[in-house]
Amino acid sequence: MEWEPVIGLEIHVQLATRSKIFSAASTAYGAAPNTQACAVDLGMPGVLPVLNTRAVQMAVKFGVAIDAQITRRSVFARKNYFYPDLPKGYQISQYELPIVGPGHLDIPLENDEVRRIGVTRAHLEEDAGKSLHEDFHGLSGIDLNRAGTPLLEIVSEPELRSAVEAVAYMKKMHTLVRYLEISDGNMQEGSFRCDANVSVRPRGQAALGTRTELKNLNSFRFVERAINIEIERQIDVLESGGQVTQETRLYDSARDETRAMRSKEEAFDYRYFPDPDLLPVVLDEETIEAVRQTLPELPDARRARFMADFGLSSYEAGVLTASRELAEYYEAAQTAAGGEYRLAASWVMGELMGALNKAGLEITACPVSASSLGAMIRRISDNTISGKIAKQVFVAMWQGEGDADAIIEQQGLRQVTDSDVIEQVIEEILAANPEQVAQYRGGKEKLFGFFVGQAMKATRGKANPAQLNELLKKKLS
Amino acid sequence: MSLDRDDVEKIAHLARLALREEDIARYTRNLADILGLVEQMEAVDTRDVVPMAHPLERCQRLRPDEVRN
Amino acid sequence: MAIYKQTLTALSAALHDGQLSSEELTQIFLERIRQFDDQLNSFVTVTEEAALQSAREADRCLQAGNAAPLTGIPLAHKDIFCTDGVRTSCASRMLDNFIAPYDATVIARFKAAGAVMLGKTNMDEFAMGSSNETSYYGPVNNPWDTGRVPGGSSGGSAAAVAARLAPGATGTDTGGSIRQPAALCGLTGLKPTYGRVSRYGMIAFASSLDQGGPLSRSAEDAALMLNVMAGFDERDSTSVECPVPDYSAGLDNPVAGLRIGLPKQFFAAGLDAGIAGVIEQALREYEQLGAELVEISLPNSELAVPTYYVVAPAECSSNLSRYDGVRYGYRCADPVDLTDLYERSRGEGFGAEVKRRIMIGTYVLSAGYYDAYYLKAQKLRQLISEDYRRAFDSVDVIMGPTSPSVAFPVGERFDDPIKMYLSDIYTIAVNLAGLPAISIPCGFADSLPVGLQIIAPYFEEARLLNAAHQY
Repeated sequence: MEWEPVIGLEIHVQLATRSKIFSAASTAYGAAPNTQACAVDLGMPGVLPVLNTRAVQMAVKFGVAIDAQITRRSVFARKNYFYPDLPKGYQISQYELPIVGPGHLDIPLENDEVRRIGVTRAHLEEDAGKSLHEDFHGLSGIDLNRAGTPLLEIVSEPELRSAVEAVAYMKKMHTLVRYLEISDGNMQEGSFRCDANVSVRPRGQAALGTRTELKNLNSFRFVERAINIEIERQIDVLESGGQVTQETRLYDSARDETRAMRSKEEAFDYRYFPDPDLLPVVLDEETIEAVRQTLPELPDARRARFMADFGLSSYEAGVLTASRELAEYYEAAQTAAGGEYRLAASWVMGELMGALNKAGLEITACPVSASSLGAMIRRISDNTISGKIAKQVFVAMWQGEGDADAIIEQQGLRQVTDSDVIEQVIEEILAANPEQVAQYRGGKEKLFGFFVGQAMKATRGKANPAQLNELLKKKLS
Repeated sequence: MSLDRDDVEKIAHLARLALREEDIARYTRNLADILGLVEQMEAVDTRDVVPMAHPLERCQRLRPDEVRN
Repeated sequence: MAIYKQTLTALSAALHDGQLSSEELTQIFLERIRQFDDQLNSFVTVTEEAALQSAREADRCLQAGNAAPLTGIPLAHKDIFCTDGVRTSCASRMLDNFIAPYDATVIARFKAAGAVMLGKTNMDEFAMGSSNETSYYGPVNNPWDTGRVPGGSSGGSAAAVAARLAPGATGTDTGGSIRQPAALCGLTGLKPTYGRVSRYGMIAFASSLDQGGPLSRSAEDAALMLNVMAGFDERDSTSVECPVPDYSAGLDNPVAGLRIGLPKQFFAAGLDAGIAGVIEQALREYEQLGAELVEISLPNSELAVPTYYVVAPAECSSNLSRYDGVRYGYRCADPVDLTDLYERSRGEGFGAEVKRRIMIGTYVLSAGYYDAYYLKAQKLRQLISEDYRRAFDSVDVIMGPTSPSVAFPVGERFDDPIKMYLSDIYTIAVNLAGLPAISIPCGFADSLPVGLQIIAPYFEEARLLNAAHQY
């Protein structure tokens, strides 16, 4: 029996507004517990919600970026349930009339394949507080700082067919919200949260199988693992004649398995109804157009441009446009390098990203500015230094020893490009190693490298490699 | 609309209200009576009527994104 | 005339003229409360010290000559308005221990206007009731006959003003809770247009129906109070940005030519003859003043009560979910787990009527019933509003009895929710439509006060006050 997985993702994105969606309390991360929850967030008797304009703008921006219908008249609804981290006993969300209607996201797959995944809707809602069970003995701590933070819940159509596709979708969404500057996408801090709905069905069947919801997937790696495990589990259940139970499961990364959450007696009846404390959100064409004008160049467009203008491969362009900051860094660097886009690409993707990864830094915290890197690359292209020496220069720049020119001067790293000088060095080396010369001339071609090495040693690595090679070949023949 | 004890217990739990055993019968009666009153709404055809969102036909005002203590 | 018998308007003049000080005035009312409130039970909390302090401050303003009309005037506030540092109970065990951490906008406005707060008045629990018999602190008695109810839910405010324990008081009206007690206690009670008065800090019962308003002894007094209460509040999304006229100006406009609509549904068979008689007489008076009586029809009137008893409980069931024993308010003893904490805190903290309404509300919103009940009710609400809109095309105001009965004996309807709900038959539609309405005293039946209700189009409170004043 061939099974086809059917996956849909629900992504909750915390919007990067300064104040909360319905109150003027701060949304800054990391404050001491319960210091950023005002009377409105605490659900005190008598308080009322007032909607944050930036949350609306960000939602619209997102909708426009995924080519979605923007709902001209959207409504907030109450989702009623009892839990200590939900102060009012209901969450203000959107139900029948979400602010963003159907749209789509194109995801890159292997072999340059692109799949278009439908986005069903995206709606605004308020976040709940946090429950902390581990820090207290026999009790649970409730921190309401997070209560009221604006969320955009993005729901995909169940059109993903594998864990790999799910991760690609999630990554693309992650890149997009950061490009749009509507969220910092920080998964450790909870600004970007993903739940997956997973089911399987016999290949060719139109009807969907019973699905389970996977929660607690807070990294790309976990998403892939969890989905794959769940697919396998469901297939096992079905193949041994059982039924898949509709339930919520948590991914346990330590045990690498999914587990049903503490069972609930009944499915939640949220009793949705339009929130009478809020009026319908009405958007006119002008407002939507104004938001459209603020859209930056989106990842796909930028990638295409990089490929066209800089002759980059799809893979290379993909890497360099993975984040807006990285893309901007690269462009600035290649400009500062005098348009040396290929060289700049290989330096950014190679040495720079290597150094960043090793130090655990994001591009925004890079100690070498784009213009400094570009200036250094220019010194390679104008032959002041060789590529190899440049690595030394880069390390010194990374450690804050100054800009490229200063380091080159200080450490005397200028390339030797004077042919006479190189010839001189070559002659000295050949004279000093007559045996190897004879062996080389006798057919041991590998010894070429030996002479190169010797010459480099003699010039402390500064001989221009191209010239050295050319002159050495001449001298040896 | 008839409402029985089971229904009342379910509703009470959904609303997180503990009811005393001796009160459940009375509540069941009360609720059934009230729903009887409400049944009168059935008499009117409202197929083409737009539900009222608010007495005023206004739209939501937007607040600037500023932190205030 | 004894000081405490004077209207708020007269007292304001007296204070401004220096005839007496606010401190003296406040003492007079505090003394009356001490003397008589045992019989009425109209106050939950009396804020004696704070009152005298504000009175002294008011006196400083009055002497300095920069006082507003209500500066130094003592008022009572329904215990549904949050008052910073003072218990705000909603007459419920659930909030018996709740000290509000902020002032409701209405309260802040009165403070800014220099008014003095005597205390918080008793009410039906969480504003649910028409007789003030559901209060955790015991029923309120009608000063006209202490064996009878004052009406509800603003029964405490009505009783206090009627008994001259305060020259004016605030109330809230969701289905008639200002107007009906005003009628039963012989007072003037105004429910403003929905959105006219800020709901911020006014503990919510049914969000799309609630409005705060004044209870006083005359239209003039009500105008003074409404001038302070009305106005846009950016903290309330349902508050309307509509300029506030001076409600005191224009009270003396003649009502000649005023077209008064009389809905035939309000005068149908079944209306108590005593009340009908008094109302008819009041209408004759208006005719003599030059008004024109026009018969109109509000065909969907009968649906108002069932519609209300879906919408209001639905909204309140959600609004009251925050009372869960977790962050504030009543918490049950020794909860064994979370569910127990919730169920017993709420089961023990709320009275029977509140629990009934929460359950009805929960039921009509629950899966499978939303369309048949809540959605249907919202559609009927639209029809009911349209009836009024159409009526106002041909009349300027609508009049009728406020209540189908005079004050009934304590305990008479308590065990019969339906009978209790039908007390609101004339007032409820007004809340559903969001219109402004006022109840004014127009006579007696069986020696008990009868109220005349006047309804006006949106934001025409001035018209209401004018018509009321002219009577």
